[in-house]
Parts: sequence; structure tokens; C-alpha cells
Amino acid sequence: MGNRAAIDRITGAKKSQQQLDERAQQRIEDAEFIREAQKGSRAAFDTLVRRYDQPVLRLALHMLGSEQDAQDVHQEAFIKAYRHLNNFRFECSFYTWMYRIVTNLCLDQLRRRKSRREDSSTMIDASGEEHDLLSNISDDRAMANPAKELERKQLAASIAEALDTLTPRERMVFELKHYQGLRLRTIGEMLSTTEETAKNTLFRATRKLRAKLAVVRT
Amino acid sequence: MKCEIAQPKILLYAYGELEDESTPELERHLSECSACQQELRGVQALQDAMSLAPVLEPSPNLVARARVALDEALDAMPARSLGNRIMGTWFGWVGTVRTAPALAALLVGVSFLGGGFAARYQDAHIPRPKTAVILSSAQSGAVASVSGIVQTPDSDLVQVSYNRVVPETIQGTMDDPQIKQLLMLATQNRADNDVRANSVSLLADQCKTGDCGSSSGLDGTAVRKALMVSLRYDKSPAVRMKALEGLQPYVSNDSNVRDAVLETLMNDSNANVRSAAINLLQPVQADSSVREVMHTVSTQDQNPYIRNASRTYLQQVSDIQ
Repeated sequence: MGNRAAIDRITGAKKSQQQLDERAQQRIEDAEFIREAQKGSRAAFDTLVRRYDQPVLRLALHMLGSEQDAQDVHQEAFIKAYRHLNNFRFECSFYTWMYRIVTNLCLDQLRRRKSRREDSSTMIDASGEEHDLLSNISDDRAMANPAKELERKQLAASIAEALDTLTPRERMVFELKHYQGLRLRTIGEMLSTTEETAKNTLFRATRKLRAKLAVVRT
Repeated sequence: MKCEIAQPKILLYAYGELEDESTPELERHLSECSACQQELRGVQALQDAMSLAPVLEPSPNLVARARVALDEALDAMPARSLGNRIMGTWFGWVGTVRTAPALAALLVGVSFLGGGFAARYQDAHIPRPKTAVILSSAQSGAVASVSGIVQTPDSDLVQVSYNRVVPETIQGTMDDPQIKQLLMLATQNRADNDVRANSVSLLADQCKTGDCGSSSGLDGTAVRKALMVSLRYDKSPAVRMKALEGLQPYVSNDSNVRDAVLETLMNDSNANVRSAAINLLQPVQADSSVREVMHTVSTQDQNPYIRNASRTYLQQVSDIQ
């Protein structure tokens, strides 16, 4: 299959040996910092924060579409991690543990929004100004063609709408699989469930999205 | 492969989650089945469409803002309690073993290689000297001396360096070198007669059994020297007597000990000590320096009993010869 490489590129499924080695090395270093932090070293904890705060912000920002909410989740997540660092038993990587905290906080936020029926297709930046989530997307080819640009904007708007129809949990599984490129097994771990459940949730999410975005069906 | 089986696998395939052994079979089916090809195209179209809401890197501004806010929040939190930290250390250790399978395997291996159960039982029941344990160590003690004073220029700060005397208690058997060292130090205690008497007595008892420290890794002569110093200079006759008893086994082989005993016989102010010294010298009657000292003592000692004893001693010597 010719598009296998493209699939791998999207999902990040194939990891080179070098990447795997780097990951193992990072895990060993993390363990050292965690032990130091568990003994009370704030500097060691700060190092962990610096290592993981950007992925945390990236995930929260994409999930919640608001810089302020992302910053709140970031802060709350690391404070939780700091408070409960002694519960970290080295059973999973620090990354997985941290993501578990972040996904839970994002889920809570999404559930609160659902109950408030907020419109998540708009984004509120730090200054409180609302702007369209899709204005972030730059595409030179599309800019050259206003008709195509309009079509793309409409599609993007319907994507945001479609994502909004997912349950918070489906949204999270889809986010972690499609956008963050994580393995289903890891997603299961993060959401305190099994790989099988994560797989079924992904099935449900994609089915809903395809139904909503009938236009992308061939 | 049938379509019902293939269809659910297509999504996993598109996301790179299909297990390697199923992949060739699915790919074969996809090359033949147009319905499943359409399903794959549908999934890929969804994937392409979803990329219109890409994951953006957080702006440097957001990262900086979040870091500052988090730093402030963490600073405002109370420091982690001691209990927390102890728990942390424990789980940290557990974590080390978990994350170090080689070490864990080594630990298990060593315990197996450590020998059979019976051997371990015997080993566990061999009486062995207990190591010295520090029982109490006061956190602070009296200031003993001031060792330095530095005045910082251009400020009103003064830095004073001082030494503290921190009382400690240590417990252990006589075989412990640390205990022995401390006892030797105690023989020099000027203030307290009891401390000297007890330490000399303990060291002497140890020497009488023929073990002056070689078994505990200490040089035996160190203990002997300490006893000789006590014999020569201790102001208490009881302590000198004890030291003499401790030195008894070494009179015949160690000329330094013999000289010390002879010196005692000549100069000690206490008659009992001098008399004990005469008895101690019995095994070295043949030594000419011993005889010379005995001769001097037999004529010059102020104590008639000592003079008598030394005369008897000399008679015995001449009888033998």
C-alpha cells in the first residue's frame, strides 16, 4: 500500500530505533528527577515541569481551544502532580502519569462546558477577545483562491461542530489518537481503562464524525 | 478475509494500530475488495479533513506566562512534610528496583547463591561481636572555644566561628576497636578517678586474657602503651595496680613492659604496687637488669616488707643459678 508511509507519518506509529533509545534515556532521567522531587527537591520538580509543560499546554490548548483554559489546566495539573508525587509508583512513565492528570482536568472542563452549552468553535485568547479557531490555519494555496478558502473555512467550521458532538470521553480518545498520535494502549492507561475500551471509543468517535461530516465521505 | 472481519480492522490499520501479523492479510483483501477500499478511503478522508484543525504549538508568550504563574503557585504552597518525603524516599527506592531489572535480578541471584538454608541458619547463629551503637547524641552542646572572628567590611555583620562540645554515648563490646580507642582515651582523663580506674581495669582485663586488641584490628601495643602510661603516671595507686595486672602477660616478652615494671618497683610511691611489681617479675629472674634493680631495692627501699621480698627474690635466683 503506497499510503502506508503517509499513515505512519500522521500517526507517528513507526518509531526509529534512535527515537526509542532517546525515549528510554529520557525515562531513566525522569526517574532520577522524580526521586529527587519526592525527597523534596523543588529544583528537580521544576526540571520535570520544563520537560513536559509544552506538551501539556499543546494538548490542553487543542482540546479546549482557549489559551486561558489551557493555562489553568497546565497550572492545576502540575500542582496536582506536585502534591501527589509520592503516589507515583514508577508503574508507568511520568509522561503517561502527567497526561492522565491533564486529560482528567480537560474532561472535567469539557463536561462543565457541555452542561453550559458553550460554543467551543470560538477561541478566547488571554486578552479575553474571541476569535475564530480556524483563523489560525494558514494555507498559502487557499489564500490565493478565495473560493477555495471559503470552502475550507466552511469545512473547518463543520469539523469543529462535529468534534463538539462527541462525548467528552470520545473527544479525548480521538484527540489522543488522531492529534497526539498516542498508542491505544497508552490511551487506555491514561484514561484508566483498557486498550479494548479505548479502541471501541475510537470506533464510536470516528463513526460519529464521519456521519456528521458526510461531505468527506467518498 | 471476509469484509465483516476486515472492516473494523481498517480504522486500526489507518491509525497504524493493526498488529503486524494481520496487516498482510488485510492488505491482500483491500487489493481485491472495492467495498473495503472505499471504507479505507472514507477513513483517510476523515483523517485529512480533521487535519484542518491542526495541533498548534503553544505560543512562547503562553508558555512563559504559564511557567511564571505555576512558579508563583508552587512558591505559595507549604513545603512538603517530612512524612511525605520519607514516603517519597521509600517509593523512590522501590522505583529504583523496578526500573533496574538488572539490579533486581542480581539481588535475587545473590540471595540464592548465598547458600542453602542450613548454611544460612548456622551463619546466623554464629556469635559475633555487636558493632558499637551511638545511643545518644545531643543536637547541641556547650561552646568549647571560639576559633575565629571575621568582620565583614562595609557592613555591621560579624562572623564568629566556634567549636561545640557535643556529648555522645556509645555502646559496644570490648572487641569493638572504637570502644577500645575510647577507653584508651579515658585512661588520660585527669578529672575523674573512676573513669580512669574503670577504663584501665577493662583494658587490663582484656590484656590478661591475652587479647590486647589484635583481634579487633587494633595494634596490641597501643593498649599496652596506654597501660604503661597509667602505670607510670597515674596518681591513683588502684589504677596503677590495675595497669600492672594488665601488663603481667607481657613482662617476659616485651622489654618495654619489663622496664616500666622495674621503674615502678624503683619509684612507685605505693608499697602495694611495688610489692605487686616484685611478684610480676618472677618469670624474668634471669634478666640482669631485673637483678640489679632487685639488689638496689633490697637495700634502699624504705618499706621492710619490700626489702625482704626483693631479697627473697634474689635468693631464689641465686638458688637456681
